[in-house]
Amino acid sequence: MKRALAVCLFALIVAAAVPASASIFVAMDRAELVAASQAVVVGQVVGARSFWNEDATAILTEAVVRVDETVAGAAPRFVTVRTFGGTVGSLRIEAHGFPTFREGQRMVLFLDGVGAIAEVVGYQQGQYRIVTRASDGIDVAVPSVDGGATLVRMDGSRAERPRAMALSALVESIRTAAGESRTLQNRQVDR
Amino acid sequence: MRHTAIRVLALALFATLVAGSASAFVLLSPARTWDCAPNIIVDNRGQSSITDSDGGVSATVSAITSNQAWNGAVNGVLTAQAGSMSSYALGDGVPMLNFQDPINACKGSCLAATFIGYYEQRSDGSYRIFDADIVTNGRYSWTTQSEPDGCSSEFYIEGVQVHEVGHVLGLGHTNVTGATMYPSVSSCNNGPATTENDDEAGLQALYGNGSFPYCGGEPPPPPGGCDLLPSGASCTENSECCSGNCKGRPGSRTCK
Repeated sequence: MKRALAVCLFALIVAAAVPASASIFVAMDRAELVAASQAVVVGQVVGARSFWNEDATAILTEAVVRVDETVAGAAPRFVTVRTFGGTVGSLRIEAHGFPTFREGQRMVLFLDGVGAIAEVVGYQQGQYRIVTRASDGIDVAVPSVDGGATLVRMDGSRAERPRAMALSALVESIRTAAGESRTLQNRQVDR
Repeated sequence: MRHTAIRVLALALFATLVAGSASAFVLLSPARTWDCAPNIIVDNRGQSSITDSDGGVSATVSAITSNQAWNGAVNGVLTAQAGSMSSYALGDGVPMLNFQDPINACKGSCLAATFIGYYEQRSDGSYRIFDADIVTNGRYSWTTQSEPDGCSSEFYIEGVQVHEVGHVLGLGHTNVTGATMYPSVSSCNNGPATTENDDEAGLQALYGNGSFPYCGGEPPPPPGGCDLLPSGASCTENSECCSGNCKGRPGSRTCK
């Protein structure tokens, strides 16, 4: 009975949840994200600052992420990651559907350009926030993809949004995808 | 008893879904409007993948100003014209629709991005938009209704930009399938270029009949002198609103 009630209540909450804004992105599955990334890391934001770009045409935010674990590829101990949007003085630029960073946040990041200023691959699709579940202490990876992003497939069909999962399961699936990606690349080189 | 409770909850769920699909427009939070009808500058260079006469410039201007779209819902809610992008900048107060991406923000998997964070609070508690800008990714194939070679796995620039301009005007995503502000795009489907009842209701909730009362300066207090929050302003409880009616979900409630 309690279970049935919980299911109905959950369905009501889902039915009431409506996304709320702006940009359009081609959906990338996990294998595509891994293949497009130089490194996939688990880390913590240790600092973030927003500033105008040189041309004063956009506000950018750079976050310094301490890498606690490199899941795929290679990354230095600290990575600087850049994204669009942020607040400078009284002016706030919301770049909807783009990754955001706050000091102290733990996250899984699919990164490109780790040798210099890195970017998150696939925008919000390449960012999961890590939340420790109070009931059992398990780390859960929560996708950053929110109502600000519309995901599409190239055939025009609507893409499924990524779902939260145990951090250990996400890490395992990334390692599997990275292994398959490497195998595929080796086969292509062999030819 | 157990089955009755489940039936009641199932009925409540069904009613929620039906109600949600009947009218579900969503305003950006906090609700915000332009003081005066925005004049959107459309990139006069056009989109390189579009093979109509001017790279989709005329088609885009025509689509976003059409009476089949936002101006049909609220007469005169926006104007648009082709122009140069040489002074393109975020936050400068000039809304622009750029067919390229001078700030290199929308690349890779990004098709189009709208920057809509420029707003501030008016003295009456409502919020004014003072800028919004759109960029598009030229790496993908775009088309228009007037392209001579038709559509093949391409995205209609008209439909996508009418959707993005909905955000520029202050609308969020709806859950009404088929509405322009529904968060889904299909290749070779230009349906979003024509607004639906849900879109129009959303725009009318923001701009009423299109009189733009803040254009040329903030209006005097209404007769009777309500100095509480006006319709559309963010609120947390009924006593904050002139109407005495603060509605919506926690965190995104507005005066009705």
